[in-house]
Amino acid sequence: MSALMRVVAIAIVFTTLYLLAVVIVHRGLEPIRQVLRLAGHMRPRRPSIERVQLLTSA
Amino acid sequence: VPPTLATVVFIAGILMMFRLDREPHARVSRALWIPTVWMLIAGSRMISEWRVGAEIDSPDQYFEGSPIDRLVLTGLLAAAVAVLVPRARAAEVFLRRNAPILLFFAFCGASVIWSDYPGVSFKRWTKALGDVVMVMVVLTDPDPSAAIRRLFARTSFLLIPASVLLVKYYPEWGRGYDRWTWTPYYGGVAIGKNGLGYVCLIFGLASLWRLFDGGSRIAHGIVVAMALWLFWIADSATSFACFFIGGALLAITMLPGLARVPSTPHLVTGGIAVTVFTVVLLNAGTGLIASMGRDTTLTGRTELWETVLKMTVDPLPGRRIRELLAWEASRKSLGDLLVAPAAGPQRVSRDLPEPGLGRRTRDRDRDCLWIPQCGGPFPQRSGGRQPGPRDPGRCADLQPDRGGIQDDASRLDRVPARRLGASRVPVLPPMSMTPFDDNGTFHPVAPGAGLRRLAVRGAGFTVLGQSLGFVIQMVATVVLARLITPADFGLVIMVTTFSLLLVNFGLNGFTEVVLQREKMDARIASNLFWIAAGSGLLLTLAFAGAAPLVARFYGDARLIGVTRALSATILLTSLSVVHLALLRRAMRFAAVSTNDMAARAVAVAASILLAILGWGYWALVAAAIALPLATCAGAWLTCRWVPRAPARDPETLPMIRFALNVYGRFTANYLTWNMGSFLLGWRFGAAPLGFYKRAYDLFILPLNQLSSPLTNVAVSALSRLAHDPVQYRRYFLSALSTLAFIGMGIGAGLTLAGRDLILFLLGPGWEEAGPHLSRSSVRASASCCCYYTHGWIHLSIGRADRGFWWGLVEGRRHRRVHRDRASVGTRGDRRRLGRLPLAAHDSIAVVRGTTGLARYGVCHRSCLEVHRPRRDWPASSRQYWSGRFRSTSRLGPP
Repeated sequence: MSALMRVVAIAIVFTTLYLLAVVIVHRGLEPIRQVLRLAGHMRPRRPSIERVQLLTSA
Repeated sequence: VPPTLATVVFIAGILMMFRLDREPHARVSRALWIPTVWMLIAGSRMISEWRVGAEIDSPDQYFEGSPIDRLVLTGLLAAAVAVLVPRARAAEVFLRRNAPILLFFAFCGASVIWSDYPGVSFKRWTKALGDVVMVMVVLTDPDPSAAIRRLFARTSFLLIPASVLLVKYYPEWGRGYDRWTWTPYYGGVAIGKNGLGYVCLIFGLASLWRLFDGGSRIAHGIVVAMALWLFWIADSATSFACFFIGGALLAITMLPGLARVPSTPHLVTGGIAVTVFTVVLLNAGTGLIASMGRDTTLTGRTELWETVLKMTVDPLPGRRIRELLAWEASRKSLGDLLVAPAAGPQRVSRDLPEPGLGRRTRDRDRDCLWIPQCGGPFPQRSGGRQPGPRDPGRCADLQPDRGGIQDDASRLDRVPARRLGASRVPVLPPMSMTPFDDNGTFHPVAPGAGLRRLAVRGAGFTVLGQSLGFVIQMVATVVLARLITPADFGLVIMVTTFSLLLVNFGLNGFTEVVLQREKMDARIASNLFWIAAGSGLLLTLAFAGAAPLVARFYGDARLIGVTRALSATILLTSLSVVHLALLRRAMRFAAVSTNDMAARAVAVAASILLAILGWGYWALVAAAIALPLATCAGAWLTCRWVPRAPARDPETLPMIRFALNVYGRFTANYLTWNMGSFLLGWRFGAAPLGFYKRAYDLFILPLNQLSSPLTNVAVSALSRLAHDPVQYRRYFLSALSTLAFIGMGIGAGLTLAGRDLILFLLGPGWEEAGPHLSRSSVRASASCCCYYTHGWIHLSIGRADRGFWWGLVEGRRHRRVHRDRASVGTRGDRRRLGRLPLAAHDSIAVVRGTTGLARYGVCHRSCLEVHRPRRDWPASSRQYWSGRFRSTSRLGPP
């Protein structure tokens, strides 16, 4: 098995086990949800009119 | 004929053409399908544009692009790079022979820095770079000549017949309506009649070539005939003229008598060039252009350029588009340009996207498109049909949003006006800013409200920028590891281990001063700038003068030149410190990230180019200099501020003290984390240091993707919450838990897959770096979470002195660890260093690390609970701990 295949296999197995461990330890999906929420908030969106007014007046 | 039946017939015909033109003896690799698919997409339209009714709702959507397209193109690019890896030798030869092309792309990459939309420019640059990669895949094929033949045959047989099929039987794809005149046009597989013209030109000529050059006469004859028919219906005169000239050139040079004379192609090409120049540019052939049914002003472009060329233009980067827009805005009100009225007849300005690229007419009324459903006049064009102004049924058929896509620049114009309500405004935040007004007062972007949203979104931009930067860095690591030896890497690292300490003198200190201070004005910023620049100059001279000492320390005379060259990085960095800090203070994280990303791209491109040209470790030195140079240029272009002369100010001295405390903490931490590099370089030389440092970088790079943007944003946001402990604690713990969740996962994953990852990324010759990566990952990831986050607390509450003392405590422990490791190396051989002693040492370190974690936890808790600035620090630790523990329930406002 090539190095890449080994890396992919280890990554898949480890990620699964790691997430499982986090869920068990925290008794829920809250940490994962928190990260996903944060990522969602970080996503660039269309600027609102207030934001544009701020920028154009700056 | 039903479309389904026509489709079946066309598919059968295409298969027949493939069969007729097969070359059984041609040895082409399967990898040729990658450039084929790339060319099929480039020659037709993007995947997302095949959806019927696909439209760009807003300029934001245009700037962001389609994720599907991005995924497909990235996948193709990755596959092409994977194909090129085993063909590295042939690719290297190709690149050596085409160095001017690389230089051109390097310049294009650098131009991202002064672009108004660097993110979009960078994406375009990457896409253009993909063309070069695909060309390399074709030309490094075992039989390049056959590969070119097959590539053109495959694309011609698919694109040209498919265009005919779409035009005849699938009008929703193959036809459209001109957005200005509402006359129908034929696009085929492409978008717009010009697009179809390009397809017919390129692939028609390719088939014509194969027709003369031994290809299947039936198959290529059909393609040429179809191309001619498409030329006729598309009415693309320019493409047809080019096809005619190209075909004539092909025919002349393939005539048996003339083919034997080598100068024939040159003479014919020169004659054609002179003719075209005379006709088009000297207006000698006005009648000829008019006879082709074309406007002699080239649809107004010559008039536009007459106006534009009179404007003052910077010699190197040219005129910025935003400045042109500002010029436009001086004629029209900004609101008229940007915001469409919410009710009544709506109009979309044609001038918005890029003056000089879009169309302009003299008549103001003709600048506006009246949306049919709302009623209103249509611009009068000769030959154009004039639908009734209030004809809803007809207007619905016209689909104004789908028509008339001429080029990328005009896509901005596709914003349907009915979607432009007052709540959506097609504008992006400008990248550049002027930080101070005429009175020297700093402009806050978000005074008071909306801080969290700006901070989180700022982190988003920063993470995105860091991710792209990470990709660039990883590409550089993978490519350079195959071009430069570990010993060469080690040689440069020996010097950068020292130089980075000095480079960070202004970077760590003045940045935090600018971020943390409640008030900032131009006078203070100017003083900080001159202090940073002056100290940078002094340190540069001192480091260059100390070059012989560095060489003596490591015992390698080559280091004298390297040290002197790298000393320039100290001054270059110091010149951009205050500008970048002002951008961060204004929360222009997108600008900072883009600048950083572009600078990295320039540095990486320079290092790869020079490494290919055989410069060895000097390629790395050049990259190290190019990075701060490009960063500095970008920072000055983005933050439009020229420092004033220094002036006496009583607030300057406390700020310097604060900055020195921050730098003291940085120095302590730097020595902590880099002691291994110092000792390894000193004891074992360049090659082992190269292995160690590459492994360390591979671990620290992904972690920095998360921690460093979070640090930038967290210090900015937490500094403003210093007087609200509840909010402060909530923000802090949320960030810490996120960092721990992701950082520890990365660390553990790298521990398990470290050796294989090294083998895959760095290739043969770097196996010794594997154990280093596996061993250090988990321990270091846990430490990093603590290291970064307790720094946030100290900086945000203005107690950099505490950070300094904690750094000293931390550094003492780490120095002991590294001293043990180095002593093991001196006593034993390298085999012992790699196995038993290190394993035993790691066990001890894990135990120490666990207890250390507990201590850090206590530290964090105490810092959170007593985050008020204290004047009696450092007090005795016993007094500190006994006096400062409080329960969370007793926490209240200070």
